[in-house]
Amino acid sequence: MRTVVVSIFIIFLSAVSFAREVKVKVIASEENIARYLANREVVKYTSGTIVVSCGEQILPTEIGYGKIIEKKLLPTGETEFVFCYTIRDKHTFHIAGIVEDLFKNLFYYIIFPGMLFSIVFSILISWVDRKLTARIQYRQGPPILQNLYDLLKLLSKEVVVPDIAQQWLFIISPIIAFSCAVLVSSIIWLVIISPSYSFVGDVIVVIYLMTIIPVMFILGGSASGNVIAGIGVSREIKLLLSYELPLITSLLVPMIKSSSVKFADITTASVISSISGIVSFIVAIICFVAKVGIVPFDVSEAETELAGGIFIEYSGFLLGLIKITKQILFSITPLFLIILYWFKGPWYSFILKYAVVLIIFIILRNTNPRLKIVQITKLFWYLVFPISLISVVLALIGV
Amino acid sequence: MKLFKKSLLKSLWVFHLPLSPCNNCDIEIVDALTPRYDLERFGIQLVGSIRHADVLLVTGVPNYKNWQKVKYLYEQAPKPCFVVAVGTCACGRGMFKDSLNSPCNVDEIVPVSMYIPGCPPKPEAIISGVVKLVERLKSNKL
Repeated sequence: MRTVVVSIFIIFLSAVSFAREVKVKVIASEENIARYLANREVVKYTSGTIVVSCGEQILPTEIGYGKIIEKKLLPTGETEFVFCYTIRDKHTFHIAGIVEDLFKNLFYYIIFPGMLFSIVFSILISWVDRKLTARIQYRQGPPILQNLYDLLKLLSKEVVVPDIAQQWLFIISPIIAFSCAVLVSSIIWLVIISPSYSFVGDVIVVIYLMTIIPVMFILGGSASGNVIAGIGVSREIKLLLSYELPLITSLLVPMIKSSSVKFADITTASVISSISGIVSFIVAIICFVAKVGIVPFDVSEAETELAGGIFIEYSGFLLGLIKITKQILFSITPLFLIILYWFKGPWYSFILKYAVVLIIFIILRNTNPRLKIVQITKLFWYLVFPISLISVVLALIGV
Repeated sequence: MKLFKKSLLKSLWVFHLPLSPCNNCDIEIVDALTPRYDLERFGIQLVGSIRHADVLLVTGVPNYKNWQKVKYLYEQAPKPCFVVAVGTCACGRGMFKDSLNSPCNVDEIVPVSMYIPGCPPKPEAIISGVVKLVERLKSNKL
């Protein structure tokens, strides 16, 4: 019961933080609007020309990306546009609006790009992973709904919490990890559906949320009180220290190329067509393989030597949450990479790009042995990090 | 409930518990998971921790050092958990029945759902045993 209340609270908190929609009436010449729509840059107006439909003024800096709903020619020669903007609501407080936004954001978080959709999507993608792995090993492979059966079975099983565990932390950490993964998935899918959902700094938000997931696994594993989980935790911490530095350095390249920390700006620049873009893309793929924790970098759970590692004490519902969190992370990281590096192009090419990155992940996973933690740290700090630094320098030069 | 039962039968995760065996049965079990037989088709996986397991696969004869640990491990497992005895030793101790070192049968310690005899049983026998276990669980109440 306690877990249910806490998870609802977390879902509520994360849903509230989304933005809300406001209609803005702008009177301006056609050229300015066309320039705005073409370049997606904020056109500065004097305060007199911006009139908001509900009678309040909005500073130009607060305006995000809007779309035209209405267009009317005025007798003065100027045109009156009605825009639909998504902005952060700071100085207005309408209960009805907030309740409406809450339901809308809860719908985004729980149903469409959020929880339900990302669970279904990740189940399908990890079936592709398991089936391809099986075919590479000349096996038949599991049926398409296998991951759904696993999840349902784990949800219905008994949850065993060890006596020596720190019970509160042990239970809460998979729930927080799961809600972070769902939040990452909903932010990324909303940006793919329409760039107007993007807000300033959302790339950084996604990077932080993706870091919270392994941190929560570390906390949960160390709270379990198991010795083998302790070894897994120490390995996971070293793994986190190894890949996080080159990962963030390589993700700097798209930000430098588009000089923005907003998904909507980064999607308009095609980063992969430059040398620094290709180099940092490869580095980011390697780092994300480590982040997802699949085979060459799965030292922390290592079924064959640590018997499940950090997750050794988890069972039932909590184990199901951990499994689905890892699957969501596995299915969402190719999307994140594509948005940052390779987004430009028609929508059908998007599926092809996704398939390419996913197959690179699966092939890396099936053709490499598990590395030792010493080898991983050496690989990331001595080889991958200098390469990503070079790509940043190249991007600053402009290559 | 029916959906949960169906999903349980479609994804049995196996924890392998060797009780000082001669290693023959263990090799045959690993053989059943190889690409030739591929038990992952039925959702069966070998897991490392008893907390993740639905099936406790016992091989070998319990002795004075480990017979209490079988019970301990069974209690650690999240329920429902089924015990499968693989090999003649685990089924009825075979030629070690009157041995000095062996206190009791496996089924005197924990409830055994399925016996797969043979010394060692072939992988085909293990798969057929698993299928029979699933059939039995389908008809019975869990």
